[in-house]
Amino acid sequence: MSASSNRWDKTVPDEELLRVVRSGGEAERRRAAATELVSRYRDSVYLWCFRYTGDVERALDLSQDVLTSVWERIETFEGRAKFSSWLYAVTRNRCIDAGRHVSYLLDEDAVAAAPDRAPLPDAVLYEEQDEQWLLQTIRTELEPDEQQAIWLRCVERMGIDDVTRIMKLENASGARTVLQRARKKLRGALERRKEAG
Amino acid sequence: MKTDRASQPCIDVQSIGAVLSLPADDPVRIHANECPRCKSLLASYQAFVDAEPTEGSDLERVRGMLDARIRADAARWKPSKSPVRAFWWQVLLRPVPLLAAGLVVIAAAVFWTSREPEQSTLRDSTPQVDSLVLRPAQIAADGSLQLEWSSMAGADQYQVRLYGPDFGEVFRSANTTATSLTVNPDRFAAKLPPTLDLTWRVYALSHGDVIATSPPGSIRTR
Repeated sequence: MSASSNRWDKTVPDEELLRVVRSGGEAERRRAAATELVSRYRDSVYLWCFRYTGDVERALDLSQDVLTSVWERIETFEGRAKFSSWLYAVTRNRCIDAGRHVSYLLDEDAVAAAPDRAPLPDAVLYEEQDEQWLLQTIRTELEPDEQQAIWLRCVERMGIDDVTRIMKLENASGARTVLQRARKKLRGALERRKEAG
Repeated sequence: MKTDRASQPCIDVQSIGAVLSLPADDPVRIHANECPRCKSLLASYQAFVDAEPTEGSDLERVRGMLDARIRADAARWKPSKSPVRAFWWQVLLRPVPLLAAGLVVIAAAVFWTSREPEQSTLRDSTPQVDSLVLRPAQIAADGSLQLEWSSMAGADQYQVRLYGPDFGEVFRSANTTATSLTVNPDRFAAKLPPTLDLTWRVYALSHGDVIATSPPGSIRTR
């Protein structure tokens, strides 16, 4: 860092910047350290929000919310985790709170084709009422690749293209086929559970 | 949460960065590479850190706006005058806390192995903005939404905004000095289904400028 200009070098580790932010020293120096730290993750936060929403304006709103909340808490961040992990958790939770529910049970095409005012299918009602059972069933009924696809799509709320890329799927339909297979198994498990009473 | 594939518990979201720096033969790392849930979380975190622009993200244009927000937040930020207390690990490295921490870890491990295997991780306890607290929203018998929030020092007015399932704004109140508001769904901008999940937020204003926003609240209409 150049002490006179209060600008921080990009190579200074996050941990050092946090130490300065929490130091109780000169306000401007601490402000500069915090600004550098937040700015480092500007793109990460925005792009993550964009990945969730697929919409520039909504992603911008969400990412601005996240960045502002970071300023409100940066002094109290205790360093239990890496700053990037903490910020990731804040961003992820903010996006999950703001995002649309992605069904574990219904295929994307079926959801997209349903009219807005269509009654909720039984499966979705069940999904809302017993998520615990569903999460357990995902682990016991699905193959590892199916589990991962469901986690990435329904919990991490990644787009199908992102799931395809991360799972390095090379078939033409990408993650769509894996998700369909997984959901079919989950619906089967749900039916069996209903029959068993 | 435990998996069927290894005896290690699944990774906490906030610990995810530390996992990547573990050696490949560390049991936690092995678990993370084998458990679909943890593998997904790691991939998700890696995508966050890599920050690779995706098609349509318009990152170049947005950067300017985000930088402006960061500058504005920085200007408003008032750092505390005294040093923030020592990092937790600096305290824990003293002998007595170290022993106590060891006992806590053992107790936690015993508890962990005896509990039911699955807990939902969909909602983490990440802190939200807490200077403006939303009370649980209520639905009156006539279907109107009854919203209430805490007052905030420095705010002279409040504005309430409601968002639909697609996060589009469906209602924006006039600025008010009150800390509660009743909204009839008839006032929503668009005709919406009778039952739907809405998100609501309160914006604290000072002389017409937004100085704080609440964390989002949820409400289901009927």
